[in-house]
Amino acid sequence: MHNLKGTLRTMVKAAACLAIGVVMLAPFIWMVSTSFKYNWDAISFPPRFLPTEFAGFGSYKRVLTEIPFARFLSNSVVVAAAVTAGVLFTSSLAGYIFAKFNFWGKEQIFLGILATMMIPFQVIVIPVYILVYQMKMLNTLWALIIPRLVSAYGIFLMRQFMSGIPTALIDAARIDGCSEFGIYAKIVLPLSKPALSALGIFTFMASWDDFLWPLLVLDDMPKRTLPLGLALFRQQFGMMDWNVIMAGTLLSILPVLIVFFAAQKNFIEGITLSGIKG
Amino acid sequence: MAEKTGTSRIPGRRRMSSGRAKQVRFIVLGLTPVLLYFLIFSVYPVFSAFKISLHRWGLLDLNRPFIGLTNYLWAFNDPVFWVSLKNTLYYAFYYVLWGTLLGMLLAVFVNSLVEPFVTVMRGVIFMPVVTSMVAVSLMFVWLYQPMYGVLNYLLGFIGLGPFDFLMSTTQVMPSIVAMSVWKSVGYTMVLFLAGLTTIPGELYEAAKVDGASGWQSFLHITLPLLKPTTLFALVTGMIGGFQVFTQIYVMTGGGPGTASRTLVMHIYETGFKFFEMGRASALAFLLFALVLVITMLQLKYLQADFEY
Repeated sequence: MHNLKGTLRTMVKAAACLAIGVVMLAPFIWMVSTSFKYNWDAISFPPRFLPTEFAGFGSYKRVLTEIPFARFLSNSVVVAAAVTAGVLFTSSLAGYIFAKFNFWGKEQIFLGILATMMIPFQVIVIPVYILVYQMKMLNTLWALIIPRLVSAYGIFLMRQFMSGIPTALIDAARIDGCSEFGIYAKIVLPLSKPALSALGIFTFMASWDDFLWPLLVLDDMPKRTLPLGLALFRQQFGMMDWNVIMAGTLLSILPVLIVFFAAQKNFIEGITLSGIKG
Repeated sequence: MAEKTGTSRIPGRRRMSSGRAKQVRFIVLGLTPVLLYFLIFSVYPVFSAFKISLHRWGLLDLNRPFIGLTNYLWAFNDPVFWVSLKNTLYYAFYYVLWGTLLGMLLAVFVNSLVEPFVTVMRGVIFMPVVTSMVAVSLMFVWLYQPMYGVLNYLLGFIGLGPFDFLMSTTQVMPSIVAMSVWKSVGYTMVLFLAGLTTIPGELYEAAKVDGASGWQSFLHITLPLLKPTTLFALVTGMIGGFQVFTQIYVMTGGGPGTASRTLVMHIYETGFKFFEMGRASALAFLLFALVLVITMLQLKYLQADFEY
């Protein structure tokens, strides 16, 4: 009797897993299937799960040749990498100073930095746009990088994490004659790896996904980042070329998905860390 | 915050030892650029935006007169503002409601599984979170297609539809909410999974000994102890929900008509399509006020519930 109940429970759970799996994966599978169809096949009704006639990589070839897709990709990588490097450096440095030093006005300054997190980007977007315009950075990738190099959230996260590093360790290094920057670089940074990797993942993803700001500051086709290039896809290709649109969509998400599945643990731990600490 | 570096005292009692001098130099060199950055890219823009919101400030105007609160009054007298506000509230409310509810349920479910199913299900549910919003929007525009869309085809089997989804003034917002929940539920789930690991297992065992059913344990142990996570999910979800833009821009452009126009879409069009920067800034401050008020209310009322 007990065994029967256990078997039943397992079966219900398996069915639930399957149902959840279908709901979460179906849109991805449909994208893949559409991208390998010919256009007439993609927009035929009733839709077929598998291509009636396998169209090969024709849609992918169109994405790669008819729009500067590789350029979009490299723009996105350059911007996200630069922003991530900048944020990791500034957040860890400022976070360390707020966690382990005492100075006049420390608490007030830190609270002030935290307060800026409350400001939605939309509120300051116009003055920042004007600033970027005055700095002659409009329509360059600099416009996406420079205003994003420091993050209040990053400073907060690093400070929280670094407070847990034993102060005795830092004092010992000082007595040994290590320079202040040396302590930061050689002792504090290596001990902060979990927080750095969490912050790095978030920053990279946020930059990769950023849409409103690139939409405002980038005009030229070859300057666009991936999301921006993708969003204007439907204007580049015919509205009904869904096979091509889906091929481009898939190509655009593939790099991040690969990284995600290779390092799933880090992603999950990152959110866990920030969720609990935040 | 009480921790002291202590080092300043080690080399003796001179007012400024060479060690402390080095520390001061490190603090100044490290913090000055960061603080300057905040002044330039956060503090100054807030004041500047407020100033702009009090002026007639077209991008190409040579003359930008001070007009007091006229831009705010314009917003209040514009029916499109109220429609955008209504759509934003609708989106934020249902997005947070369903996102939190489903995120919590999925976390409890995944938590009850054994390996390797935990890792697999977590990965599958989290996949859309790492997919860019533009990509997800395009995938769903294709699924939602009224004529060739596979969703209408599938719903036909259970006798529903066909629906116009994004082309219908009544279905467009629910369709966008559904997609957004699908995209972000993995994030909420991982938050709740982290929350679940903080609940000590002994509590469940004690409850079992006392004869509590699984459902009772959930209601009286899991739910109350997940309150901090729930509050975090509600507040961050709501703040994000008020700023919804990308999927609206890609999927509908705010249409049909103004049926899916949100506040940020309204700000975007006012500022960067009609170049009325003064009006756009006023709208942005109204959004800011709304986010602040709702966050405060959430913190006040939900945190009061904390003492259990």
